This record gives sequence, structure tokens and C-alpha cells, in this order.
Amino acid sequence: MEPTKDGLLTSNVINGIVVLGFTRGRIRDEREILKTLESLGRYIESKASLKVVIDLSNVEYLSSAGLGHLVGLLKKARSRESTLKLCGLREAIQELFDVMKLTKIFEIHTGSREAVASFGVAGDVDPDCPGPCAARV
Amino acid sequence: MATHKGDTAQSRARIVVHSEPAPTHGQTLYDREIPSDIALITPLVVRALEFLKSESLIIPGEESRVGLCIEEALQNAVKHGNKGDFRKKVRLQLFLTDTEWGAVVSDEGSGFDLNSVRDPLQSEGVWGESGRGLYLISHFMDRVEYYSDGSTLVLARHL
Repeated sequence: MEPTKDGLLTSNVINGIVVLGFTRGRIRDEREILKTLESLGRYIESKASLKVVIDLSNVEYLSSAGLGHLVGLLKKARSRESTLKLCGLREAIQELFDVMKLTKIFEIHTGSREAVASFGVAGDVDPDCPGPCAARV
Repeated sequence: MATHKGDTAQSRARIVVHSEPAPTHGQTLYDREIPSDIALITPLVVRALEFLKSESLIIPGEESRVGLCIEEALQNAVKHGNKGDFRKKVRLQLFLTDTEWGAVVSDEGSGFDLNSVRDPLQSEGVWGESGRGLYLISHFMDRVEYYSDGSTLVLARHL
């Protein structure tokens, strides 16, 4: 199954792990990113026991609202017994996480490969577990 | 005059609240006003950053930090200062003195109590979904001062 793309969001499923990414993330994309994060919140609330990786490698700018949305996603994931991890933080974004001590609550990996591997599984795309783009959140 | 409580991080600017109006700061280089609509904030921040870059007051690597501070200040002015009332204006001015450049963000609200702003790094605060804006501003800017009991915010960076 090919990775899917829905606006700003890309999604791919690797052996049951949903890997989400952003196609772009400059300051002028900020409102769209916030809306996308809100949509992801609804997706995460709708299913239990998800394994999710959010790849922020194309995100150059994040406001405090964006940080808040990510914290909200993490809380929603935990309430549904799902696991949410982050990867690909650029220097500017990593700095925000460091300053706000969000590194204490988020598991952050260098890249999506490492993030997926951290779930202890490896393999090809799982056609029986569509990502959020296919689910049209 | 009030200062932010519990701030022991030496890398952060001390937040000060004055009851009197803000004094004139150096030369005003940029002056824009928007209605209190959050949709208008990002475009204004983008234009302000382009202006600051054109004046060589920020370098490309600083865009995210400076943009974040100006955006957070405008968001607070729109949401908390003007309570999202579209009829009320938020004003952004950029200024330059011999020693610093800065931004003045003013709203039409009645100010606020700095003591009511929670510390986002207290244990529950890390899990909060809001309340980080002012902390980030004080981390990235050299001077953070409120005037008129909080309805005018001055952020400044040393040259």
C-alpha cells in the first residue's frame, strides 16, 4: 500500500504502526498545522490501542498552541491505551521541547525508522490497518 | 510594579508589569493594526519578520524564535486582552534604539494580573495544553515589560 497524502498530512502504515508526517510546516502554514493536529485528535480518540508516530521533520515552526495540541494528542492517546511517539524534530522545534521540558513526557526519536523500530516490530505496510488519511478524519 | 514569581532561570528575561503607559521607544520603524481576529495574526507576523530581515535586525536562524514571540504576544492580545472582540484593535509596532530593537504589542483591554499566570513547568503544567506563550517570550527575548497594567507589551532584543 502506498503512503497516502491528505492536504498537509501524509500517512503510512508499517506493520500496524501509523506514521504521520507533514508535507510542509513554515510559519505561514501554522493555522493549517493546528487544524491538522485537531483532526488527528479526533482520529486518536476514535480508536484504541493505536501505535502512532508523528514525524515532524518538515515542520520548521510551531507555536505554543502547536505544542499544546501535541500534548493534547498524547493525553488522548494515553486515555485510549494508544502509544504516540515523535520523531524528526528540527533544531528550532527541539529547542521548544527542551525549554518547555516536553522531553519529559514525549518519547522522541531521530527519524521515523528509529521511531518505528522502538515499537519492537519491523516489516511492510499492513493493508488491514489504514492510516488516518484513509479513515478521512 | 509586579514581577513574575518563581522565576529562577537565569537565562530568562524577568517579566515586569508597570501600571503607567509605555514610554516612547527609540525610532518606530513599523506600525500596523489589526482587528482582534486570530486569522490575521500569522500574516502580520510573516510581514513583520520580512521587515525585520530587510532591516538586518534578525538573521535567518532567528526567524522561528522571533516569530514565535511576536505571534504569542499578538495571540495573547487578541484572546486575553481584547477577548476576541473583532471590534477591538491590536497594534504591533517595531522599534529601534541605539542598543536594542523590539516590538510593542498593545490591545484595548484593561490589563491582567501577572500572578494569575501559571508556571508551565510545574508538574501539572507540563501536561497543560495552553499557557506556554509568556514563558517562551521571556526565554527568547532580552527584555519583557508590560505597561498600562498589562495591555501593552514591550519585547526587546539587544543589538
